[in-house]
Amino acid sequence: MLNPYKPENAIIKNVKRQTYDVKTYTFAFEKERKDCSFKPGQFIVLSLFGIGEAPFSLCSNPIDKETFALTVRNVGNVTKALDKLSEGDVVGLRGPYGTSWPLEETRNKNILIVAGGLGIASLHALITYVANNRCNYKKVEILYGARTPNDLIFTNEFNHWTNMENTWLLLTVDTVPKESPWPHNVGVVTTLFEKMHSRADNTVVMTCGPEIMIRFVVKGLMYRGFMEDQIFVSLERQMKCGIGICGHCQLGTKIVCKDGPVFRFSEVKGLSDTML
Amino acid sequence: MLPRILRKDETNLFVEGLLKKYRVLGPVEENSEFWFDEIQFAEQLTFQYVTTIFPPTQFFFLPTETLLSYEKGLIVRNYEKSDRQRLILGIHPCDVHGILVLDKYFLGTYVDPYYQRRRENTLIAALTCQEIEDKCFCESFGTGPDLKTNYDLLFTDLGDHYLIEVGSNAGKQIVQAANLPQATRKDFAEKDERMREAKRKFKRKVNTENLPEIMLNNLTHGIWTELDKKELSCGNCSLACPTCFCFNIHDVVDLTLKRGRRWREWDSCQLLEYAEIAMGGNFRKSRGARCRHWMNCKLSYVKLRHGMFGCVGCGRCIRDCPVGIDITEVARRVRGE
Repeated sequence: MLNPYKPENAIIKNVKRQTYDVKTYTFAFEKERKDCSFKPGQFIVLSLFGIGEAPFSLCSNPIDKETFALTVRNVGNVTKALDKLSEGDVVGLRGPYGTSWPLEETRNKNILIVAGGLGIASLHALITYVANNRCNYKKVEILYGARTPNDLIFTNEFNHWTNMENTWLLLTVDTVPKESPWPHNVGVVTTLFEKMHSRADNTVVMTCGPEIMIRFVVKGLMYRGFMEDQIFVSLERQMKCGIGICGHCQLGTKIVCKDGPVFRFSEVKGLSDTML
Repeated sequence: MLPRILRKDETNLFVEGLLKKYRVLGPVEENSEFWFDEIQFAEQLTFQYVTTIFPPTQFFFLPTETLLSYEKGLIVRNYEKSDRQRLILGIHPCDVHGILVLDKYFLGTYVDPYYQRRRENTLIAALTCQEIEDKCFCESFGTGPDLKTNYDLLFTDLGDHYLIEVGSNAGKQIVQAANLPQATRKDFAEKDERMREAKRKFKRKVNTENLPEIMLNNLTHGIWTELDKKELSCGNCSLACPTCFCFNIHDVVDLTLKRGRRWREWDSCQLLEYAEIAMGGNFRKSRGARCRHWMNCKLSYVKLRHGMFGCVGCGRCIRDCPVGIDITEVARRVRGE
């Protein structure tokens, strides 16, 4: 009998420090299961024996079937224990689970990506996918906000993104420490709407970040003529099982780990206990 | 399949026969309280019982259970050994429906192997209800006092004997092995009369028409503010509810730090930590929001998702609420009655 609670051992192949409290970990399975296929937007459950489990969005390149990568902020029980591990250490993984960003629906359309903080992790998998299949999509615009310039991650890929044709990256931070050079915008991510190229017509929006940010992103975009149906959001809830059983991530009639984490905004609008 | 009868003075003999083949779970009494327990001999059972303390779903979805054991980072065990077949005897129709709700979650897209093994390994010998308590309202949800399907055997107390209806091949084998005499039309007429009589006894009622939609459309109803002040966040309702399926998962290691296990326990959405996310966020910080979530889960969400209500009308949550929150009153108030 298949046991969905049973994680499979995976080895940490690489640890890359992104910021003072964020690292990207790359994993490969020890044996048997080699396939690391997933769709951008999906998550896996990371398991540390003796500590516990936690769900994380996959940020790796979906084309790479050999490894999974997670970008993790050192902030809770599991992530603090993970922070102490290094290359060669063994963890458990289950998944991938959940829904993905609407890549098929987006074909031959413009893409607007709005990322806040670590929300860029889930969207990084999407951006990488789009970059590898650039001709399938029209204009691509990425709005990315973080608390300070030091909190930005995947910075070494920014050039690659902006070098693509018809692709824009607009950056913003909440605050800039004194004497830090910062040629970009200052303010919350929605302040970039005034500067963006994207228009509602023939565009699909994908956004991930703190729920309060998503609320104002949707509000700001609706004000600019976008419709609820063309906005996709990735939501965070407490998850214990990740497979639609334990109940923790219930959001009204939805179960986030199963029906989400990526939802069309119109699906989750008006549900109770959200900031949307 | 041919219905049978069992004379009451032969009940113990019948149960002793079951005990030879099955682990028998049934209602027992102590200090005027009832609960389900595994019995060793027939005299332990009592069929004249009112709603048990815990729902019998506790034998399928255990209050606590180990999911995995591990040693030095390697999983050494991930589920229990195969077990002797079980038979749950005298379970009321409302509680059978509780199991049907759990099935929707534990046997969904992903199958919970622990639940599945117990579910498949347990025969259901249900008992129609004639002891209607003032907290019962199963009739409103169509989950009692009679049961139409989803049983192996169905007992109805007809005074000096039981009518036994047969719902599966496994049930048929039991009544054949016990060589029980066949029931007559008169027995069914008697059952119908008794079921009509039982239905007349219900004092609590819920109007379920369009209830899921009405609940969804009243997320800002004043009652949630009232309940925010009233409810204690104790979680009693979840422990008592036969359809509450939520659980938490913990890791625990022994003192050597080499061996450990991952286990789960019943959880309740009424507890503050239940919906906490990274960095201290919580979408149900207020008790009112948690109470609303629980009520909506029972009266709206499960029905909209799975076509059956998450409430089976057993009345345990009303019985066990220390501040007297009554789900039937909530339903009535939200409807505007």
